[in-house]
Amino acid sequence: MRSEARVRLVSLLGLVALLAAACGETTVEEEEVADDPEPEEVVEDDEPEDEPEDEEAEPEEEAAAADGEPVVMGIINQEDTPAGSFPEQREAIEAAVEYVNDEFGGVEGRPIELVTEITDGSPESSSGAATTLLEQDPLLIMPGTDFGTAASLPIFEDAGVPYVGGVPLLPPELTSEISFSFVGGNVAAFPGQARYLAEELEADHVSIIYTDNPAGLAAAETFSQGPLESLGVSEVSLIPEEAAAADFTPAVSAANDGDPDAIMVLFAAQGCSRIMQAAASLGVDTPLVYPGSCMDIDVLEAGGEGAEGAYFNSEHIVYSDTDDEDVALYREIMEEYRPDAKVSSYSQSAFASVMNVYEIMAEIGADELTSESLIEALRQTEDRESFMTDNYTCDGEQVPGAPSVCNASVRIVQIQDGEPVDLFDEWFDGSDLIEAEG
Amino acid sequence: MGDYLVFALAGMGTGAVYASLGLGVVLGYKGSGIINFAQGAMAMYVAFAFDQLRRTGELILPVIGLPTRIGLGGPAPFPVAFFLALLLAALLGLMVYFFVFRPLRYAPTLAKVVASIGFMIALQAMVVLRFGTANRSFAPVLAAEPIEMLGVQVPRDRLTLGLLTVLMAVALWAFFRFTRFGTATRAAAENEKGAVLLGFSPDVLAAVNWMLATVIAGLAGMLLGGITALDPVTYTLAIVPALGAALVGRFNSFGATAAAGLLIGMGQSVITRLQLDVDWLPTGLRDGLPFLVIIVALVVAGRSLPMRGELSQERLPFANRPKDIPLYAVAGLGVAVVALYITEGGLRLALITSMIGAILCLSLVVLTGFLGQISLAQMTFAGAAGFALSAFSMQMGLPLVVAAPLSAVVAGVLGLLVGIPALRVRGVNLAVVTLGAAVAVEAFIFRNPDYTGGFEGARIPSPTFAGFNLGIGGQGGGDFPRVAFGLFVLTILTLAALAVVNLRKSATGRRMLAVRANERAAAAARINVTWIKLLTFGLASFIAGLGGALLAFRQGQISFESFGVFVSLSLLAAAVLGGISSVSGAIVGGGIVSGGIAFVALDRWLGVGQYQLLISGLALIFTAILSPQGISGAVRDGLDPAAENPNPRKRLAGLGSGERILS
Repeated sequence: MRSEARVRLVSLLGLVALLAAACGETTVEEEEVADDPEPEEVVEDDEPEDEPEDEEAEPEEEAAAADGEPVVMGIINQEDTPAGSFPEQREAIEAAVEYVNDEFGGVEGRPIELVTEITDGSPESSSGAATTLLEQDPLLIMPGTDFGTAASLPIFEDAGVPYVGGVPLLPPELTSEISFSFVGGNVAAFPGQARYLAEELEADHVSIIYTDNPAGLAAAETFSQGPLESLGVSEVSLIPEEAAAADFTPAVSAANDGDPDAIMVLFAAQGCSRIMQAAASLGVDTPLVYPGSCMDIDVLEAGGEGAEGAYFNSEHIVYSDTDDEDVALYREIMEEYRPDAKVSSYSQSAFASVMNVYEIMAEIGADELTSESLIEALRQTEDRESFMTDNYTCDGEQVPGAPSVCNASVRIVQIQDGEPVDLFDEWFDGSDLIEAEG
Repeated sequence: MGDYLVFALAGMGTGAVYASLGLGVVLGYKGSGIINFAQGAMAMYVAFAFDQLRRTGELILPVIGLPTRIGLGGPAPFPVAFFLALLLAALLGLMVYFFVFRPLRYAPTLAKVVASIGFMIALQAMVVLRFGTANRSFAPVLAAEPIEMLGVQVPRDRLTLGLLTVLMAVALWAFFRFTRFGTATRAAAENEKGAVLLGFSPDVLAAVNWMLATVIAGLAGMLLGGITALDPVTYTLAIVPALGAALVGRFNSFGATAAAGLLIGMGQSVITRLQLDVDWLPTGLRDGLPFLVIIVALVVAGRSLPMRGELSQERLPFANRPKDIPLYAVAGLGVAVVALYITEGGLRLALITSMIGAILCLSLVVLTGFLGQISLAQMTFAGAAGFALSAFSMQMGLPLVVAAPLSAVVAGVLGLLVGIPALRVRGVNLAVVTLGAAVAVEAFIFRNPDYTGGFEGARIPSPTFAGFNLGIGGQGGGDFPRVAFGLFVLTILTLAALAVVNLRKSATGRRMLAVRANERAAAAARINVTWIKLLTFGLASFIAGLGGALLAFRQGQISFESFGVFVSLSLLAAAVLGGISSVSGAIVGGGIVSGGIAFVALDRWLGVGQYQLLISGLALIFTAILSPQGISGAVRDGLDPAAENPNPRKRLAGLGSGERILS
């Protein structure tokens, strides 16, 4: 028995060591995160038209003036979990808020104060995060991506706190009364792609590889197959595949069966890169069209040869187009405040959401700013100019069945020599092709 | 026909993943008697380390006393990275054997299964913490350009991997057939005492075999990284088809295991193609295929794990006879009611989550603690109840006072169905069956929008009773979460706990414990083992169904993600940590579930949120090694070490000493 106890003690020490080793080290990605750099003066001609003019002010003076009662903004974002991690959205929100506070002193002297809850995508985690955020009495919630939204949004709705921005993914984000999205996510992406494929590419046979779950099936049928067929595409094949499939070769082979004119891919980032790899290993030369959420540097690198020539939709002016002043400002501020954050479509959405909301809050004014006044102001927007995206109108009527979506336009982008290139320099809107259920 | 043949060949990549993981599982079992649920997770870790070496030249080590990372001064060339990664795999295997599985050599099956699952959870969490979750490009090891066969392009590397897997199986067979070490390993598996008498150390044999298994896992991870994903999930989940392949090989034949793994992968690929031509094929057939293989291999063909002639002592968690129940019940109720009223917001929600978790843990206390049957699918039963509740109330319009208990009955019936294979299999076999069942039910039913509500998930109306709103809020009522819902959950928990206490004290409970200790002896004592097993499965699933219905009420809208395989494993972890064989253990387990009071409190005070999974996994291993009674048992032993609850190890030392066949 004594030796048995010794074995147990040794194993206990070993496991403690393992825990210490795991906890004590940062991840490889975190290693080179620098401290936030000192804010610099902003380049003058990068201001969007409606922003308060304050181009000459020194950032240090503005920071000192932002001493009013803080405007509390809650962030809810999914990170550090095998299901999917989106830190770039939180980082973009943080960078934009810090820029707004430094450059403009917040909302008439009221600095924006961020409170953040990270979830693991489970409903328990999301509802817990929502409840904890509400304890801080936020004026609004700025979402990143959270797979447990079905559990958290009703809580925000019950408290009357608006849920503004981000890329809507799940039904509550598309339908809740207090949810407002400046871009359409998948409900804009896929009909927009369908419009491009049917009208520009004149496709007659399209295959769709979709994530094998109810949301994926709905995206395939309602937002892709329906619009394609209404535009006269005569043959649409649906191929389901699991997000965690060991090999995507069978699915891509099935999609390429019958020589389709194009293959639409309805997957999240990890699936996109693997489908790119599988397509390259199969020598598929059929055009593949991916969702905008997959257009980020890591996915393109992971996709290897398969990324070259791939098509994407983009809810924003593409992030490589620094001739656009909004995009240039976004790239500059991210480089200044969060130089190690990933540049991606999701990051653009988060940054743009802060800029759009800040504009509206500044118009409402510091004294009148409440959750109710913000909701009312958003509902009254009409064809309003947006940061990095097409104009938006939050009247609940932009997309059938998705009243939260304020703008459903997308650009069509292709990867050429490793860089995303906007093919048409115009917006595609397929929202009229969606048939809402019920 | 040629078309299907091409798809079969395209499926060899997937098949190679399953087959190579299966070979590692068989190797580990032959050498040490342990089925390693973490085989896929180990492959993943080594693949990540290999990728890191090629990317930045850093070797990541989880070893005390050495630097956690060793820089080589730049990206390592392929041969160096490959060799170092294999060395790391061997080191990992040795460490895991020495610290985790060697202490459990003579432990009951439950402890080994639990430790293996804890290791899987911990390793997966470690990869997320150390390497992050960003997409990683993985420079393939094998040439990937396509070759043309039958007029269609087929990736060359998939065919190469299939061939390599077959060669690996042949090499392993030859090793065990013709080498002294291999022969000694087989001898020790047959008769450990005899092997000792011949001068072999079963310990050394097991350690070396374990290292070999990890090296094979690492090799698989590196070779397959080019076609699978370098992420924490894919490899880990591939353990289910790998176990199916290993079962076909009876955890003994490398050839049969490799063939089965390849065929499962090729079969899934063919089904993908078939579903284009045949509309009526059920969705989920492809993902449910491994489960069908498991069922056929285990139940229909009557194949179980080969017996091992080990020196062992069964040391089952002690299921103490409850005492002072009214005192504990009143005190517990009092504390819970006060806590519900004085907490608010996130803490109150965590408390409610813990109470629901305690009900779910009670189902495992009955099934695993009392009857000794290991189920890795309790959340599947809970999910069945949740979706049934939605269907009964929203679609059929039944009042909730009828729909809720009826949904728990549905879960109970499903449990009875799962209990039928349990009549023929037991121990770790049953764990594998339930794991496969969880995957299959998710694929066939939970993900099928025809059954579970499609895009919007399944809605659940707010519970009311006799005009009182018992809902959690969040629907315009304010004050989320409402105390009324907490009291509702507490009532159900109290009734369930009292029922389980009475079960333990009853003759039926004693019969369950008798079956747990020794089925044959119980049968000889004229206990109807079949009836007891079926009854227990039904009861345990009914209790899980109650928990599932309450979860559904809590969330208001459910989807398949709430009831997946990993959630079931996390629940088992919490139940074992709390104490698998007592009601107090279930209460403690409820405190530890995801979103429960323990982690929310720790996260608020110590900020340990991102380490939750890692802590759970390691705590599970600790518990399996140090205190199979869990936290509640350890506390109970500490408070009352002698009197009516003597040290279980001493108490059971007289049972099963000497040579025993593990079943």
